[in-house]
Amino acid sequence: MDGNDLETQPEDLNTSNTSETTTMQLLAELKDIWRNERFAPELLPHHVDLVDCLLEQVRVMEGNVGKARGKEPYRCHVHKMELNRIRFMLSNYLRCRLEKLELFTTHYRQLSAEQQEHFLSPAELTFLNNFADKTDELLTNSVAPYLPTGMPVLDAWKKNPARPKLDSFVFVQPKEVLEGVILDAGTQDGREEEIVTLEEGGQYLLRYSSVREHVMANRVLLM
Amino acid sequence: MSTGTFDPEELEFLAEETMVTIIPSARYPLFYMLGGDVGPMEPSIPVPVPLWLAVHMRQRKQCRLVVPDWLAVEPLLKLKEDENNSPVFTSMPTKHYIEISQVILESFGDEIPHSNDIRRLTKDILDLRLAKLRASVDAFIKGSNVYAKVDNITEVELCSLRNLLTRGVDQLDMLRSAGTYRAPVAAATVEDSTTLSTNPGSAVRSSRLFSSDRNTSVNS
Repeated sequence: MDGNDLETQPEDLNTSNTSETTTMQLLAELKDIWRNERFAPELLPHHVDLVDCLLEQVRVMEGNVGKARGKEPYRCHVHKMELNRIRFMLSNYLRCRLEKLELFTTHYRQLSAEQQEHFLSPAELTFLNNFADKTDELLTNSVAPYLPTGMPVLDAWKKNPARPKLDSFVFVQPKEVLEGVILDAGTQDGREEEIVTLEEGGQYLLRYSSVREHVMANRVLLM
Repeated sequence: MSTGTFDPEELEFLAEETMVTIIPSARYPLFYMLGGDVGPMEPSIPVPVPLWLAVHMRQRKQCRLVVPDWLAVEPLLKLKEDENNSPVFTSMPTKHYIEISQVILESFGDEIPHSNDIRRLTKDILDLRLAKLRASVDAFIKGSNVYAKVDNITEVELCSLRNLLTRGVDQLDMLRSAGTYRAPVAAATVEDSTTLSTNPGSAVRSSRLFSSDRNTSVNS
Protein backbone atom coordinates (compact mmCIF):
# COMPACT_ATOMS: atom_id res chain seq x y z
CA MET A 1 0.00 0.00 0.00
CA ASP A 2 1.38 3.40 -0.89
CA GLY A 3 -0.38 5.26 1.84
CA ASN A 4 -2.91 6.68 -0.55
CA ASP A 5 -5.68 4.40 0.57
CA LEU A 6 -8.14 7.15 1.13
CA GLU A 7 -7.95 8.18 -2.48
CA THR A 8 -8.02 4.69 -3.88
CA GLN A 9 -10.94 3.98 -1.61
CA PRO A 10 -13.65 3.17 -4.13
CA GLU A 11 -11.67 0.33 -5.71
CA ASP A 12 -10.94 -1.05 -2.28
CA LEU A 13 -14.48 -0.88 -1.15
CA ASN A 14 -16.35 -1.70 -4.27
CA THR A 15 -16.72 -5.27 -5.18
CA SER A 16 -19.58 -4.12 -7.33
CA ASN A 17 -19.53 -0.57 -8.57
CA THR A 18 -22.94 0.25 -7.10
CA SER A 19 -21.83 -0.26 -3.54
CA GLU A 20 -21.10 3.41 -3.03
CA THR A 21 -24.70 4.43 -3.52
CA THR A 22 -25.70 1.42 -1.49
CA THR A 23 -23.72 2.62 1.51
CA MET A 24 -25.39 5.99 1.19
CA GLN A 25 -28.78 4.34 1.03
CA LEU A 26 -27.94 2.16 3.99
CA LEU A 27 -27.00 5.22 6.00
CA ALA A 28 -30.21 6.97 5.06
CA GLU A 29 -32.10 3.85 6.04
CA LEU A 30 -30.25 3.63 9.33
CA LYS A 31 -31.29 7.18 10.13
CA ASP A 32 -34.94 6.29 9.60
CA ILE A 33 -34.71 3.06 11.53
CA TRP A 34 -32.89 4.72 14.40
CA ARG A 35 -35.48 7.45 14.58
CA ASN A 36 -38.41 5.04 14.53
CA GLU A 37 -36.82 2.83 17.15
CA ARG A 38 -36.31 5.80 19.42
CA PHE A 39 -39.87 7.01 19.14
CA ALA A 40 -41.75 3.72 19.06
CA PRO A 41 -43.00 2.49 22.43
CA GLU A 42 -42.20 -1.12 21.54
CA LEU A 43 -39.35 -3.02 19.92
CA LEU A 44 -39.42 -2.89 16.13
CA PRO A 45 -38.37 -5.80 13.90
CA HIS A 46 -34.60 -6.17 13.93
CA HIS A 47 -32.39 -5.07 11.04
CA VAL A 48 -29.38 -7.16 11.76
CA ASP A 49 -28.36 -7.33 8.08
CA LEU A 50 -28.23 -3.59 7.75
CA VAL A 51 -26.34 -3.15 11.00
CA ASP A 52 -23.79 -5.84 10.11
CA CYS A 53 -23.30 -4.46 6.64
CA LEU A 54 -22.70 -0.93 7.89
CA LEU A 55 -20.40 -2.13 10.65
CA GLU A 56 -18.38 -3.97 8.04
CA GLN A 57 -18.13 -0.84 5.89
CA VAL A 58 -17.08 1.18 8.91
CA ARG A 59 -14.41 -1.39 9.78
CA VAL A 60 -13.00 -1.46 6.26
CA MET A 61 -12.89 2.31 6.24
CA GLU A 62 -11.24 2.45 9.65
CA GLY A 63 -8.62 0.07 8.34
CA ASN A 64 -7.94 2.35 5.39
CA VAL A 65 -7.79 5.41 7.59
CA GLY A 66 -5.36 3.62 9.87
CA LYS A 67 -3.08 2.81 6.95
CA ALA A 68 -3.16 6.32 5.56
CA ARG A 69 -2.48 7.98 8.87
CA GLY A 70 0.64 10.09 8.96
CA LYS A 71 0.60 10.93 5.28
CA GLU A 72 -2.59 12.94 5.32
CA PRO A 73 -3.51 13.65 8.90
CA TYR A 74 -6.31 16.07 8.14
CA ARG A 75 -8.05 13.83 5.62
CA CYS A 76 -7.85 10.95 8.09
CA HIS A 77 -9.30 13.16 10.73
CA VAL A 78 -12.30 14.06 8.59
CA HIS A 79 -12.94 10.43 7.74
CA LYS A 80 -12.64 9.46 11.37
CA MET A 81 -15.19 12.07 12.30
CA GLU A 82 -17.65 10.63 9.84
CA LEU A 83 -17.00 7.10 11.08
CA ASN A 84 -17.52 8.22 14.66
CA ARG A 85 -20.83 9.75 13.72
CA ILE A 86 -21.95 6.52 12.08
CA ARG A 87 -20.78 4.48 15.04
CA PHE A 88 -22.70 6.77 17.36
CA MET A 89 -25.91 6.21 15.42
CA LEU A 90 -25.40 2.46 15.30
CA SER A 91 -24.64 2.07 18.96
CA ASN A 92 -27.37 4.42 20.05
CA TYR A 93 -29.82 2.42 17.95
CA LEU A 94 -28.71 -0.88 19.44
CA ARG A 95 -28.61 0.49 22.97
CA CYS A 96 -32.11 1.81 22.60
CA ARG A 97 -33.27 -1.68 21.67
CA LEU A 98 -31.56 -3.21 24.68
CA GLU A 99 -33.21 -0.63 26.88
CA LYS A 100 -36.61 -1.77 25.65
CA LEU A 101 -35.67 -5.38 26.24
CA GLU A 102 -34.65 -4.57 29.81
CA LEU A 103 -37.89 -2.72 30.33
CA PHE A 104 -40.21 -5.37 28.91
CA THR A 105 -38.12 -8.47 29.54
CA THR A 106 -40.90 -10.81 30.57
CA HIS A 107 -43.19 -9.64 27.82
CA TYR A 108 -40.66 -10.33 25.08
CA ARG A 109 -39.65 -13.59 26.64
CA GLN A 110 -43.22 -14.81 26.49
CA LEU A 111 -43.52 -14.22 22.76
CA SER A 112 -43.55 -17.25 20.49
CA ALA A 113 -40.22 -18.33 19.03
CA GLU A 114 -41.39 -17.16 15.64
CA GLN A 115 -42.20 -13.67 16.88
CA GLN A 116 -38.95 -13.50 18.80
CA GLU A 117 -37.08 -14.28 15.63
CA HIS A 118 -38.96 -11.52 13.87
CA PHE A 119 -38.29 -8.85 16.46
CA LEU A 120 -34.96 -9.83 17.98
CA SER A 121 -31.61 -10.50 16.42
CA PRO A 122 -29.89 -13.71 17.64
CA ALA A 123 -27.57 -11.68 19.85
CA GLU A 124 -30.46 -9.76 21.32
CA LEU A 125 -32.28 -12.98 22.05
CA THR A 126 -29.27 -14.27 23.97
CA PHE A 127 -29.13 -11.01 25.88
CA LEU A 128 -32.84 -11.22 26.66
CA ASN A 129 -32.61 -14.75 27.97
CA ASN A 130 -29.54 -14.00 30.08
CA PHE A 131 -31.08 -10.87 31.46
CA ALA A 132 -34.34 -12.64 32.26
CA ASP A 133 -32.57 -15.54 33.98
CA LYS A 134 -30.45 -13.25 36.08
CA THR A 135 -33.42 -11.12 37.07
CA ASP A 136 -35.32 -14.25 38.03
CA GLU A 137 -32.42 -15.49 40.04
CA LEU A 138 -32.12 -12.22 41.87
CA LEU A 139 -35.81 -12.08 42.70
CA THR A 140 -35.98 -15.69 43.80
CA ASN A 141 -32.91 -15.51 45.98
CA SER A 142 -32.92 -12.00 47.33
CA VAL A 143 -36.48 -10.78 47.25
CA ALA A 144 -38.88 -13.69 47.54
CA PRO A 145 -37.55 -14.98 50.89
CA TYR A 146 -38.33 -11.66 52.54
CA LEU A 147 -41.89 -11.31 51.32
CA PRO A 148 -44.74 -12.43 53.57
CA THR A 149 -45.47 -16.03 52.68
CA GLY A 150 -48.31 -16.69 50.35
CA MET A 151 -47.89 -13.38 48.64
CA PRO A 152 -47.95 -14.31 44.98
CA VAL A 153 -46.48 -11.05 43.82
CA LEU A 154 -43.78 -12.60 41.70
CA ASP A 155 -46.21 -14.91 39.93
CA ALA A 156 -48.63 -12.09 39.37
CA TRP A 157 -45.80 -10.04 37.98
CA LYS A 158 -44.98 -12.81 35.53
CA LYS A 159 -48.58 -13.31 34.50
CA ASN A 160 -49.02 -9.67 33.82
CA PRO A 161 -45.66 -8.19 32.96
CA ALA A 162 -45.00 -4.61 31.94
CA ARG A 163 -45.92 -4.29 28.29
CA PRO A 164 -45.19 -1.49 25.83
CA LYS A 165 -47.90 1.16 25.84
CA LEU A 166 -49.14 0.78 22.31
CA ASP A 167 -51.85 3.35 22.93
CA SER A 168 -49.50 6.23 23.55
CA PHE A 169 -49.57 9.15 21.18
CA VAL A 170 -46.84 9.62 18.60
CA PHE A 171 -46.10 12.13 15.89
CA VAL A 172 -45.91 10.53 12.48
CA GLN A 173 -44.95 11.59 8.99
CA PRO A 174 -46.06 9.13 6.29
CA LYS A 175 -43.58 8.37 3.51
CA GLU A 176 -46.46 7.54 1.19
CA VAL A 177 -50.20 8.09 1.15
CA LEU A 178 -51.79 5.82 3.73
CA GLU A 179 -55.42 5.04 3.21
CA GLY A 180 -57.81 3.48 5.66
CA VAL A 181 -55.92 4.21 8.85
CA ILE A 182 -58.26 3.25 11.66
CA LEU A 183 -58.28 5.55 14.65
CA ASP A 184 -59.28 4.18 18.00
CA ALA A 185 -59.84 0.58 17.04
CA GLY A 186 -61.92 -1.03 19.72
CA THR A 187 -64.28 1.84 20.36
CA GLN A 188 -67.00 0.58 22.62
CA ASP A 189 -69.29 3.39 23.56
CA GLY A 190 -71.31 3.53 20.41
CA ARG A 191 -69.13 5.73 18.25
CA GLU A 192 -68.03 4.03 15.10
CA GLU A 193 -64.37 3.72 14.28
CA GLU A 194 -62.97 6.60 12.41
CA ILE A 195 -61.04 5.99 9.24
CA VAL A 196 -58.71 8.59 7.83
CA THR A 197 -56.30 8.98 4.96
CA LEU A 198 -52.88 10.28 5.86
CA GLU A 199 -51.14 12.36 3.23
CA GLU A 200 -47.58 11.76 2.22
CA GLY A 201 -45.28 14.15 4.06
CA GLY A 202 -48.05 15.45 6.31
CA GLN A 203 -47.53 15.45 10.06
CA TYR A 204 -50.03 13.88 12.40
CA LEU A 205 -50.51 13.20 16.06
CA LEU A 206 -52.27 9.93 16.73
CA ARG A 207 -52.08 6.76 18.75
CA TYR A 208 -49.19 4.46 17.97
CA SER A 209 -51.58 1.51 17.69
CA SER A 210 -53.27 3.15 14.66
CA VAL A 211 -50.09 3.17 12.61
CA ARG A 212 -48.29 0.22 14.15
CA GLU A 213 -48.37 -1.87 10.98
CA HIS A 214 -47.04 1.01 8.94
CA VAL A 215 -44.20 1.67 11.36
CA MET A 216 -43.16 -1.98 11.19
CA ALA A 217 -43.25 -1.83 7.39
CA ASN A 218 -41.21 1.38 7.45
CA ARG A 219 -43.91 3.34 5.62
CA VAL A 220 -43.98 6.17 8.14
CA LEU A 221 -41.42 8.14 10.06
CA LEU A 222 -41.98 8.83 13.71
CA MET A 223 -40.90 12.22 14.93
CA MET B 1 -34.54 6.89 29.51
CA SER B 2 -33.76 7.61 25.92
CA THR B 3 -36.72 5.95 24.22
CA GLY B 4 -39.66 8.06 23.19
CA THR B 5 -37.82 11.22 22.35
CA PHE B 6 -34.64 12.81 21.08
CA ASP B 7 -32.46 15.01 23.26
CA PRO B 8 -31.62 18.50 22.01
CA GLU B 9 -28.06 17.30 21.42
CA GLU B 10 -29.29 14.48 19.24
CA LEU B 11 -31.50 16.82 17.27
CA GLU B 12 -28.48 18.98 16.70
CA PHE B 13 -26.57 15.91 15.59
CA LEU B 14 -29.26 15.16 13.00
CA ALA B 15 -29.35 18.76 11.82
CA GLU B 16 -25.59 18.70 11.30
CA GLU B 17 -26.15 16.34 8.37
CA THR B 18 -27.73 19.23 6.47
CA MET B 19 -25.68 20.34 3.50
CA VAL B 20 -24.37 23.91 3.54
CA THR B 21 -22.11 25.77 1.14
CA ILE B 22 -18.65 26.83 2.22
CA ILE B 23 -15.81 28.68 0.57
CA PRO B 24 -12.69 26.72 1.45
CA SER B 25 -9.32 28.39 1.86
CA ALA B 26 -7.35 25.19 1.47
CA ARG B 27 -7.08 22.66 -1.32
CA TYR B 28 -8.22 19.06 -0.88
CA PRO B 29 -9.00 16.37 -3.42
CA LEU B 30 -12.33 14.56 -3.31
CA PHE B 31 -13.28 12.98 0.02
CA TYR B 32 -14.79 9.55 -0.48
CA MET B 33 -17.15 9.66 2.47
CA LEU B 34 -19.48 6.80 3.29
CA GLY B 35 -22.35 9.27 3.30
CA GLY B 36 -21.49 10.53 -0.18
CA ASP B 37 -18.50 12.19 -1.83
CA VAL B 38 -17.50 15.65 -0.65
CA GLY B 39 -15.33 18.10 -2.53
CA PRO B 40 -12.96 18.48 -4.26
CA MET B 41 -12.03 21.69 -2.51
CA GLU B 42 -10.32 24.56 -4.26
CA PRO B 43 -9.61 27.86 -2.54
CA SER B 44 -12.41 30.43 -3.11
CA ILE B 45 -14.65 28.01 -4.97
CA PRO B 46 -17.95 27.36 -3.15
CA VAL B 47 -18.59 23.70 -2.38
CA PRO B 48 -21.44 21.94 -0.55
CA VAL B 49 -20.47 20.02 2.59
CA PRO B 50 -22.37 18.66 5.58
CA LEU B 51 -22.74 21.22 8.37
CA TRP B 52 -20.61 19.20 10.81
CA LEU B 53 -17.69 19.31 8.41
CA ALA B 54 -18.17 23.03 7.84
CA VAL B 55 -18.03 23.60 11.60
CA HIS B 56 -14.91 21.52 11.89
CA MET B 57 -13.14 23.24 9.01
CA ARG B 58 -14.10 26.57 10.44
CA GLN B 59 -12.51 25.66 13.76
CA ARG B 60 -9.30 25.13 11.83
CA LYS B 61 -9.89 28.38 9.97
CA GLN B 62 -10.02 26.61 6.64
CA CYS B 63 -13.27 27.94 5.29
CA ARG B 64 -15.88 30.66 5.29
CA LEU B 65 -19.59 29.92 5.23
CA VAL B 66 -22.07 30.99 2.59
CA VAL B 67 -24.83 31.82 5.07
CA PRO B 68 -28.19 30.35 4.04
CA ASP B 69 -30.45 33.03 2.57
CA TRP B 70 -33.08 32.73 5.25
CA LEU B 71 -30.60 33.28 8.08
CA ALA B 72 -30.56 37.07 7.88
CA VAL B 73 -32.40 39.90 9.57
CA GLU B 74 -34.82 40.75 6.72
CA PRO B 75 -36.17 37.26 5.98
CA LEU B 76 -36.43 36.46 9.68
CA LEU B 77 -38.37 39.66 10.33
CA LYS B 78 -40.74 38.61 7.58
CA LEU B 79 -41.08 35.12 9.05
CA LYS B 80 -41.77 36.54 12.47
CA GLU B 81 -44.43 38.85 11.11
CA ASP B 82 -46.09 36.02 9.17
CA GLU B 83 -46.02 33.82 12.22
CA ASN B 84 -47.55 36.59 14.28
CA ASN B 85 -50.36 37.21 11.81
CA SER B 86 -51.18 33.62 11.08
CA PRO B 87 -53.48 31.57 13.29
CA VAL B 88 -51.77 28.37 12.09
CA PHE B 89 -48.14 27.36 11.93
CA THR B 90 -46.32 28.85 8.99
CA SER B 91 -43.87 26.83 7.00
CA MET B 92 -40.26 27.29 8.10
CA PRO B 93 -37.35 27.51 5.63
CA THR B 94 -36.01 24.20 6.95
CA LYS B 95 -37.35 21.80 9.51
CA HIS B 96 -34.15 22.23 11.50
CA TYR B 97 -34.22 26.03 11.57
CA ILE B 98 -33.53 26.25 15.30
CA GLU B 99 -30.67 23.78 15.39
CA ILE B 100 -29.06 25.08 12.22
CA SER B 101 -29.21 28.71 13.26
CA GLN B 102 -27.82 27.79 16.65
CA VAL B 103 -24.92 25.79 15.25
CA ILE B 104 -24.11 28.39 12.62
CA LEU B 105 -24.28 31.31 15.03
CA GLU B 106 -22.10 29.51 17.49
CA SER B 107 -19.38 28.61 15.02
CA PHE B 108 -19.64 31.37 12.44
CA GLY B 109 -21.14 34.13 14.54
CA ASP B 110 -18.24 36.50 14.08
CA GLU B 111 -18.49 36.49 10.30
CA ILE B 112 -22.24 37.04 10.15
CA PRO B 113 -23.49 40.63 10.24
CA HIS B 114 -26.08 41.41 12.94
CA SER B 115 -25.67 38.00 14.51
CA ASN B 116 -27.22 39.20 17.75
CA ASP B 117 -30.34 40.40 15.97
CA ILE B 118 -30.55 37.09 14.16
CA ARG B 119 -30.22 35.18 17.39
CA ARG B 120 -32.96 37.26 18.97
CA LEU B 121 -35.27 36.87 15.98
CA THR B 122 -35.01 33.08 15.82
CA LYS B 123 -35.72 32.99 19.54
CA ASP B 124 -38.75 35.25 19.05
CA ILE B 125 -40.08 33.03 16.29
CA LEU B 126 -39.63 29.93 18.41
CA ASP B 127 -41.40 31.58 21.34
CA LEU B 128 -44.32 32.60 19.16
CA ARG B 129 -44.65 29.08 17.85
CA LEU B 130 -44.34 27.44 21.25
CA ALA B 131 -47.07 29.69 22.61
CA LYS B 132 -49.35 28.62 19.76
CA LEU B 133 -48.42 25.04 20.39
CA ARG B 134 -49.28 25.21 24.08
CA ALA B 135 -52.69 26.67 23.28
CA SER B 136 -53.34 23.87 20.77
CA VAL B 137 -52.28 21.20 23.22
CA ASP B 138 -54.64 22.61 25.77
CA ALA B 139 -57.50 22.36 23.27
CA PHE B 140 -56.38 18.91 22.22
CA ILE B 141 -56.32 17.47 25.71
CA LYS B 142 -59.57 19.07 26.81
CA GLY B 143 -61.46 17.69 23.83
CA SER B 144 -61.08 13.93 23.80
CA ASN B 145 -59.28 13.79 20.54
CA VAL B 146 -57.88 10.82 18.78
CA TYR B 147 -56.07 12.56 15.99
CA ALA B 148 -54.59 15.90 15.04
CA LYS B 149 -52.80 17.32 12.07
CA VAL B 150 -49.59 19.06 13.03
CA ASP B 151 -48.12 20.17 9.72
CA ASN B 152 -45.16 22.56 9.70
CA ILE B 153 -44.29 22.03 13.32
CA THR B 154 -40.59 21.30 13.51
CA GLU B 155 -38.93 18.63 15.52
CA VAL B 156 -37.47 20.80 18.25
CA GLU B 157 -40.95 22.12 18.84
CA LEU B 158 -42.44 18.64 18.92
CA CYS B 159 -39.78 17.49 21.34
CA SER B 160 -40.30 20.41 23.67
CA LEU B 161 -43.95 19.48 23.79
CA ARG B 162 -43.70 15.74 23.89
CA ASN B 163 -43.41 15.14 27.60
CA LEU B 164 -46.26 17.44 28.37
CA LEU B 165 -48.51 16.03 25.71
CA THR B 166 -47.87 12.33 25.35
CA ARG B 167 -47.18 11.63 29.01
CA GLY B 168 -50.12 13.81 29.95
CA VAL B 169 -52.43 11.90 27.64
CA ASP B 170 -51.09 8.60 28.97
CA GLN B 171 -51.95 9.72 32.48
CA LEU B 172 -55.39 10.84 31.35
CA ASP B 173 -55.94 7.43 29.78
CA MET B 174 -55.11 5.83 33.09
CA LEU B 175 -57.42 8.12 34.98
CA ARG B 176 -60.24 7.56 32.55
CA SER B 177 -60.00 3.82 32.66
CA ALA B 178 -59.63 3.97 36.42
CA GLY B 179 -62.88 5.91 36.53
CA THR B 180 -64.81 3.17 34.74
CA TYR B 181 -63.14 0.28 36.47
CA ARG B 182 -63.40 1.03 40.10
CA ALA B 183 -63.60 -2.59 41.17
CA PRO B 184 -60.25 -3.94 39.98
CA VAL B 185 -58.41 -0.89 41.22
CA ALA B 186 -59.46 -1.69 44.78
CA ALA B 187 -57.47 -4.90 44.54
CA ALA B 188 -54.39 -3.03 43.48
CA THR B 189 -51.32 -5.18 43.16
CA VAL B 190 -48.04 -4.69 41.44
CA GLU B 191 -49.37 -5.27 37.96
CA ASP B 192 -52.30 -2.92 38.04
CA SER B 193 -50.43 0.11 36.97
CA THR B 194 -49.41 -1.64 33.79
CA THR B 195 -52.72 -3.29 32.96
CA LEU B 196 -54.60 -0.07 33.28
CA SER B 197 -52.61 1.76 30.75
CA THR B 198 -52.14 -1.04 28.28
CA ASN B 199 -55.73 -2.15 28.16
CA PRO B 200 -56.59 -1.61 24.50
CA GLY B 201 -59.37 0.87 24.01
CA SER B 202 -59.52 1.67 27.68
CA ALA B 203 -59.31 5.36 27.01
CA VAL B 204 -62.36 5.32 24.88
CA ARG B 205 -64.80 3.78 27.27
CA SER B 206 -65.05 6.68 29.59
CA SER B 207 -64.41 9.42 27.13
CA ARG B 208 -68.03 10.52 27.19
CA LEU B 209 -66.93 12.46 30.24
CA PHE B 210 -65.19 14.70 27.81
CA SER B 211 -66.61 16.63 24.93
CA SER B 212 -67.27 14.72 21.75
CA ASP B 213 -65.37 17.10 19.57
CA ARG B 214 -62.71 14.62 18.59
CA ASN B 215 -61.09 15.96 15.51
CA THR B 216 -59.82 19.35 16.43
CA SER B 217 -56.99 19.91 14.11
CA VAL B 218 -54.13 21.67 15.75
CA ASN B 219 -53.54 23.26 12.44
CA SER B 220 -56.89 24.66 11.39
